[in-house]
Amino acid sequence: MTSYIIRRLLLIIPTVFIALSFLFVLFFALPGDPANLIAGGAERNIPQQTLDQINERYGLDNPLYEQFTDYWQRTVQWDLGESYLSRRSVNSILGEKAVASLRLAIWAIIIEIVVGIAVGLLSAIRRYSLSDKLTTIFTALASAIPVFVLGFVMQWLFAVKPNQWDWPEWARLRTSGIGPNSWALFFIPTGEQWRYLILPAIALASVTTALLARMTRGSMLEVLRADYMRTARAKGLRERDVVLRHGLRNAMLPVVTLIGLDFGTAIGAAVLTETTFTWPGLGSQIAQSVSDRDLPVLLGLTLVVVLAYAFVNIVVDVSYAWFDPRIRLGKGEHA
Amino acid sequence: MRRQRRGIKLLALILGLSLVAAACGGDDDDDEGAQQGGGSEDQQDLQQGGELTDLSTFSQGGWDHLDPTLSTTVSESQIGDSIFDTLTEVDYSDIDNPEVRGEVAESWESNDDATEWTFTIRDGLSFSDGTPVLPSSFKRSFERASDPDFAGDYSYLFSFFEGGQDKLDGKADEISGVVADDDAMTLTTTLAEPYANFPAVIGFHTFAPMPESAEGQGVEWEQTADMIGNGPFMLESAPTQQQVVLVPNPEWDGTKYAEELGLPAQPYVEKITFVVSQDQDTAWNSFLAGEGEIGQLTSGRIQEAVDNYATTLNDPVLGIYYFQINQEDPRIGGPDNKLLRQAISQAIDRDEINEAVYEGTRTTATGITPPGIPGFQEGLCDYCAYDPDAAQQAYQEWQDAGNSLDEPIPIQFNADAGHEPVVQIIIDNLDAIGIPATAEPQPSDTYFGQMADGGCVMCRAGWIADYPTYDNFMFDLFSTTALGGNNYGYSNSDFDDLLAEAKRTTDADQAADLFHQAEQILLNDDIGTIPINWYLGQYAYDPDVVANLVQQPSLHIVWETVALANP
Amino acid sequence: MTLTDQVTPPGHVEAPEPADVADLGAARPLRADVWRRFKRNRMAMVGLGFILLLALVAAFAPLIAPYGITERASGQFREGPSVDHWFGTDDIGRDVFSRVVYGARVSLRIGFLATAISLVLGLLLGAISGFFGGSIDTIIMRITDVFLAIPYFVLAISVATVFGRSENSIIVILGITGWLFIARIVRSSFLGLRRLEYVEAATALGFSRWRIMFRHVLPNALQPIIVYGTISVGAVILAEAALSFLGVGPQEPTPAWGLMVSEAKGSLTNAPHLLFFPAGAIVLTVLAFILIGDGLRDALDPKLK
Repeated sequence: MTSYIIRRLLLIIPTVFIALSFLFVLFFALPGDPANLIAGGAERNIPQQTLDQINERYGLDNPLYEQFTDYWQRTVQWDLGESYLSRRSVNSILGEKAVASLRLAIWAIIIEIVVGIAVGLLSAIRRYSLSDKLTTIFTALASAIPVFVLGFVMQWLFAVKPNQWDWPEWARLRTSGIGPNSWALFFIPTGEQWRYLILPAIALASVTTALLARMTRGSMLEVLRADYMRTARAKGLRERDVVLRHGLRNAMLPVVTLIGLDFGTAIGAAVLTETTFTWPGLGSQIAQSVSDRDLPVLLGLTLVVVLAYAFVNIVVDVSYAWFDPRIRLGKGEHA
Repeated sequence: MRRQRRGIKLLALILGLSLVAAACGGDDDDDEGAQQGGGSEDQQDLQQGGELTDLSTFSQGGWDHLDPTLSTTVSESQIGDSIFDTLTEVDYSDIDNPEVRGEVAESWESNDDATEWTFTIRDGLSFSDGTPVLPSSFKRSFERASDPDFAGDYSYLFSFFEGGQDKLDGKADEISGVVADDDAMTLTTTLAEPYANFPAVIGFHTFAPMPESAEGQGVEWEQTADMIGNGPFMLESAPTQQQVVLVPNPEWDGTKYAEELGLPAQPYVEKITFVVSQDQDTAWNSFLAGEGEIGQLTSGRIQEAVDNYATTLNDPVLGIYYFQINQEDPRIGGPDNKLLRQAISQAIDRDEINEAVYEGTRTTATGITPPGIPGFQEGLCDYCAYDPDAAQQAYQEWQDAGNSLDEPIPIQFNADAGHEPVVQIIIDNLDAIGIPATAEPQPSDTYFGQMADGGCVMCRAGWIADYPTYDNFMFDLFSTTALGGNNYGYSNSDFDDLLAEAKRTTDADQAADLFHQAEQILLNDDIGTIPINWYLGQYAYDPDVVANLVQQPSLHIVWETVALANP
Repeated sequence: MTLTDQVTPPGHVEAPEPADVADLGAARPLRADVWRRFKRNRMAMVGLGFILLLALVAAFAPLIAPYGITERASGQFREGPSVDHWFGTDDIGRDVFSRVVYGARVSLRIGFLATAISLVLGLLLGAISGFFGGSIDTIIMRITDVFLAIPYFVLAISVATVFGRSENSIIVILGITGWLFIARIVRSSFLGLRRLEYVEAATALGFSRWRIMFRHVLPNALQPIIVYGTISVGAVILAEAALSFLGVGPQEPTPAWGLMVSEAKGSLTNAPHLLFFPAGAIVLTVLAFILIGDGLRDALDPKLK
């Protein structure tokens, strides 16, 4: 197991290298003069002087190969450079954003797990009943609504309308921003913080909660019928014990995988949610940096995401092994 | 998204605008009224106190630079102009005759050919750390801002000074044309070329003064609370990408400036929090939810704003929205195709565009240079009114002369910046008289670069004045030697000559006349461009909460005069 | 963007491992059985019905839509539903109903084509990877890792910039990012089965590897693939909306539903019909595909008797 983990960790390096190099090349293969892009040539003409300055400052006139090696030399020392636009250090930009995204993500995951699994379990147990059907439709609906539409609807329902109806302050939620940014134990909101947190967390969790609910349902259904479940029942165990102790644990295998999986969707949802609610996290930073062509920030962001993804994958693999003793014992192939 | 804000609202706004000959002192005594801008209340009734939250300034993303010598957008300069005061300021109280007044400069004079300007600095002005504002404060700032290692996007402005270009190129250690004399309290500037309107230009935020503590400070300075200025406000804390918080500067006293500007001794509000939003619709939702007192009008939600709030819609903005024609394109450019261009211009229903896309919040253009620019004249364009019959006729005549369109005219514009519906309507209008056209959206970030490289056939353009002078529209956009503003092949030596003469002319009326002649050549003789509309104001607020909101034609809000109704 | 549903989660898990030869045949229910079971699921049938209806609408759009997609009613901007305009008019006076109808074509086209690309690529690469194993497998898996690592939107917008913003670039982007999961599912089932005695026996008997792969191994992987593919169509349509929100994808005057929703997001408070109808179309379509997917999963489930 340990050697497996180490192997996986080492494999991150080439992945990072290829991913970032790909982006680097793509940026310079794009049409348009990078200096022009940086200077904001969208709405006005940029005097040649300004373009020269920019080229000079960032070494954009140097041959591609030189820029490439320069970049990697600095990155290895964890100097991610400075933003083209604001000239702030990328490290500091990412630092504050990552923390904000993490806090939001933690709550989205909490909601996802609690609500998703509970709903999934309940509808598995009451298969084909009315509540099961309703749940199916409801969760399918939650998966089908675009996240930003949901976001705007929530803003309207919980903040705009209350204002128009003159509700008291304590009954209202906030539409945007991170607010006082006050937390305890890193992720527990204190004071008024929860008002800013709740809507984006729900929006972010919406898609994955629905998915997880249905995933859990399906997984539980399979497991409930399995042989070893029959054995447990035959032995006289109560249904509840059967479900919780034996069924749940096995049903969790695919569920755990889903939670860690599909990072792409998670990032996508984060980009939309954070932009809609102006939550100052990595997601909204991605959207902005791509349209700004702010390459250093973009590359830095990609680096963070790649590393995070690899880390999550490893965690999932390990917990997967924990859930399934067959795998822990070394059997079977791993991805 | 970010590019959108760069587009329409960028490009600085200078507060200098001048028609007044600057031959002798800048103060003019024949103006009455102490009001600022248009439609404001009598300032004696305004109350002190209260805190304000603004959702309009940074409604489409955060800021890159708040240091006025580095900032490039309208949003950013609103902060910079609140923290720093420059030599001159425009007085818009008589909207048809804006005048340059002295802020930090008490008076100014020039030599006969407008190549040397000497500004006399007032006594007794201080930065918020107590240090005095001196001519050397400006010299220090100009040198810092033109240092090649530090310089921002607007540093090319320093090439207006003699020796400025050398400094920017790294060939000189200082700008020879700027001399500060602290004993005499004068700042003498020698220009590289004659410029009658220079006092207007030097009011631009890039020319802000800097205190001693700015010495040696680079870009990090603006990210701390240490950026010290001489304006009505100062930073309460380090600005973040979520908000910027300003509080009054106790060292500032607006009554020391030109009386006509009507500034109070101290700002009325005690604190302003500028909140950053990433998405315009979110910012508006936030405003509707009562999370701020000032909102920005967003397309599609304007009627809602007008129905429920007060707006600055009726306050003009110095901007033009137009379509540029590539004169070198054989399909549509040059004298042979003048009738085609005429047909196009007359076929476009500008009022409908205004109503549909802007919900009636823009003014249909009758020329290029907008109202609010001194010397403005209504109706300079002969072919800008909607006249499908005349358009049809012109098109017919053009075809009779042996011309034809083999393929649709491609219309370029930058995508996702709200121009799609405008172009769709234009295509529809052209279709109605038989001219085929098609839309060619371009990636926003490379738009102007590509258009300049010959990608433009008929391309959307917009311009907001850098400084409110007639020549900023005529010269920068259409002259043969424009500073990078004209890459569409328009060149007419008569036009250029008229402009050069106008720039040198110190008599306001004479200059205006010359500018009109030039514009008419551009619009009617050559049909070099197709104006569509002029921008209008864009702020919304609840009049029961905010008592005095003045928006200037530069899209700036004069924050030191904003007051709450019930502080 | 992917929606993995009751699909056996790819990446770290396999399709059910047949314990022995006898199970291979029983793992696949007969087609007639599948259809019968599917029919019993009412919600799945509703979903299917809706999609068929949608396909008809798309096919006969010119007959159904009363106006053209660029036809404008002068002066009638942002008006609510009326007798003349069942879904109202948009910002510049175009009929929303007609645009939604034509939009069905765009959405279905994007959905099906992108999914098709994903399926083909995924099947191919997954099969090769799983069957041949070894270094080929490692290389292909590393490639998928890289693709998964680059933030989806960065990839999407970069590709869009190179290919231009259009329907085609959306199809390419979504096709490219979707194959990853299919590949893993396919690969897993191959990995599991390679070791079977059955396969060894077949090889010994002289059957070619290709034949084994396609006639015996692949069909087992089909169940999750079919379900995934169905849901993927809906997911792609949803992704188009998200990418339009970020400025990538079909441009005006194409009546893509996602584009219409993204343009109307601010209209919730003053012209909700602009948002409601295209968003509703997206939601119903995606929902239908999900229901069908659910139904297929149930119907194909070999353990259901």
